[in-house]
Amino acid sequence: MKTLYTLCLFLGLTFTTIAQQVEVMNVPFNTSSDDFAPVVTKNGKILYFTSDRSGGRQKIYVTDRKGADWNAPEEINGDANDGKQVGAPTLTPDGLFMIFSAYKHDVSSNGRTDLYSARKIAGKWTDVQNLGTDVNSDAFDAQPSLSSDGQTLYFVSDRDGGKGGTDIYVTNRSSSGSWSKAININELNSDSDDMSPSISSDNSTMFISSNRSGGEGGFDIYTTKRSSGMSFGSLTNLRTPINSTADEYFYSALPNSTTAYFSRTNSNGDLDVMTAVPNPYPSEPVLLVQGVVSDAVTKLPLGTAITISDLKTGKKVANLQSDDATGEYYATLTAGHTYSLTASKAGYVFYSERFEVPTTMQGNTVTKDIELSPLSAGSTRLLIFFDYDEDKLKEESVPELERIVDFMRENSVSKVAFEGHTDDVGADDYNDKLSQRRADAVKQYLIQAGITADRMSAKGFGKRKPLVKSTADEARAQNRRVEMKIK
Amino acid sequence: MKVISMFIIVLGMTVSAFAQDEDVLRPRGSNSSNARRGSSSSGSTSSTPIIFGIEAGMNYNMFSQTMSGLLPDSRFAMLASGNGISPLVGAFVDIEVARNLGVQIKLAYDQKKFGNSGNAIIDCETAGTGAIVDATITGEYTNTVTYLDLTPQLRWNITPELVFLIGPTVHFQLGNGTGTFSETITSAGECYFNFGQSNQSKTSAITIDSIGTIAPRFGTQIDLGYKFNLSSMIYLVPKVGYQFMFTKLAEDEASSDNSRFPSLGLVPITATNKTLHSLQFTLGLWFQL
Repeated sequence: MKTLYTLCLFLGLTFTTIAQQVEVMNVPFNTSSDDFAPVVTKNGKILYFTSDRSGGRQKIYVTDRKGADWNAPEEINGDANDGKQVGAPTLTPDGLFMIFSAYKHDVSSNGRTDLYSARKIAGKWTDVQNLGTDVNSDAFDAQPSLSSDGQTLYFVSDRDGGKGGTDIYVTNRSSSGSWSKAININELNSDSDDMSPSISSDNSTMFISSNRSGGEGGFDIYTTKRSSGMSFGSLTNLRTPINSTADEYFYSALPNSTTAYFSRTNSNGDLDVMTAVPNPYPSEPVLLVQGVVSDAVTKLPLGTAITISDLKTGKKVANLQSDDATGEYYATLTAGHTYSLTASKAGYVFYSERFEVPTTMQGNTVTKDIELSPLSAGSTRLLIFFDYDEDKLKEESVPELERIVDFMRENSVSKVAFEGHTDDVGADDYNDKLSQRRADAVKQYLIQAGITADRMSAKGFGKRKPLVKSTADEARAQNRRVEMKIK
Repeated sequence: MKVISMFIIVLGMTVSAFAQDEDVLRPRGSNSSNARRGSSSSGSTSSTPIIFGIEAGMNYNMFSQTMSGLLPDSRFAMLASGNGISPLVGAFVDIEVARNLGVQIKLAYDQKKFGNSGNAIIDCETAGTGAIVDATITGEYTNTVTYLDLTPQLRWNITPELVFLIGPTVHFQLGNGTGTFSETITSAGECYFNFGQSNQSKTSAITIDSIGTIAPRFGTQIDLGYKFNLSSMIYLVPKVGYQFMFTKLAEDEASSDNSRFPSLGLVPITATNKTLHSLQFTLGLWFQL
């Protein structure tokens, strides 16, 4: 019995200690109106939220960090806010693509509140488009949450056929960019109102808000993990100090961060943006990739399309854009994979890079700056893979080869030279021949794809032009390569 | 039946008052009871939406009066009723007082024009001989009165687009009412209007005020409009309305019918119950702040 008391006391003290360690605070930009649905982007530098502080109409606001503080929020620029009630946005990690909810937006709707997308172009949120009838219904469709790879969208709807009240639905983006028919996620929903889904950067940890029975009162935040596909585990109530007798919604946290954001009704009944430090429910750590894309000659920043793919599966894990003004880009990746990173822009030779993310890098931030060569006399190292001592193209080379085909078709007057290089292992003559065969293999692939042979040349340089003069394994790996040069 | 109709309207207005336009958090405003538990002020519903609007359109005016004592085929018979179309322009402010309910106060420049035409038989003096013969005439009259209307109405959004308004209206007269009464002899032969006149057509100018127009006039106005969304803040609103005026257009009048003078002499007549109501068709622009 004494042991039991000791155990209970120990558990109680432990729980109290944990609860006391989490500090829940108001953010300084809350007003006496509703301020809710916070979402942070660009590695925590920018925060978007929804407020009806101006004239009782919900609009999307943005604020950025000024040291440890936040600057005064402003309505976002552009035409995304042109609706009767607009808000609850979700953004890609680069902060350049947004999906948001709007009731009576100037862009046509399918009925009541719908989901729309917008792009940030030259500092303005524009190109507003309704997500279409596969996603939106004639009912309430709102509160989107986009996975970090931009391929899966969770949202709330009270359409017919649900479990009751509002339910959480999911839709996936196809390779053509269209969204699939939305489906109800049964495991997340109840006959009460289930709202504000928030998928974390690990694409597994999910937070929702629900007023189902058994909570602290009103709407509470629950969490669960996605096990596989759209299968989720049982929901866990976050309890105090996150949940209270008030209503809590929109729980989100930056990856690898100790700060979580959520919304709570205050004693006046208005919603406020809150922080919880340290985040008591962190998602799995991920690798943050960031960098700046610039012109290799002028060094000026460039806005380019960037694709990150899993080299093993060939699956695209991130489609993003670098900022037009700063060239900055951000992406989150899970560890334990090898990726290809490709940047392309009209008038430039595309850029490709392979990089491994071992599990030891989990939770880190990697900077990868990219320089794009202008078409005139530009060059790029190709992501072409061969087996050891072989000249047969490996399967994972195909995406890069297809990029070269596309490049040659888009730049129909360009002529290119493929240059094969080896490391310093082996005889000169043997390496010359091997590098020549490898350059020829690339040329042959393009000929079979319909590119005329007179636009291409292939030459093997063996080990005579190393990128790095070193015998280290890493240097040798860099030196084994095929380059493409514009003639 | 009237009581049941009123009950249905009041019930509908009450139910509608508790419905709300939804926002990105609250479908149909349905979560507000939870989201704003214990709330005394409430973000998106705490601010009072105000609408300013302008509108322009036309009246279809319907005048009638009861005329007693008229001779058969009297030249005054056509005055018993009249219709006409005339313009109106207005501006208003609309303040929301509850969900889907608002008070709209409108000031309008409201012209009422009406008239009628018809045939009649009069005593006609034959040229040269002075003999009195029956003659057929055509007559036409128009009257115009202009008001400044003050109309406070209760607005009820039956749906987010369909708007019903009802309320009293007060018409303040601007200037004097005017009118004309034109008659032309159409029967064959040469004869002239009697009393020694030597013409076969004549037009009389009438100042309606001289017959005792009443101002201000009180009535009720009912409107039904439909809001087309031009943008999130601007609506185009075609509206149809009816002005039913409790106050008569003018005082009762006693006069005499001289259509058959001198053959039948002057016959006393009375004109009573001078009513003027209007159907209104307007197109408005509503600017929601």
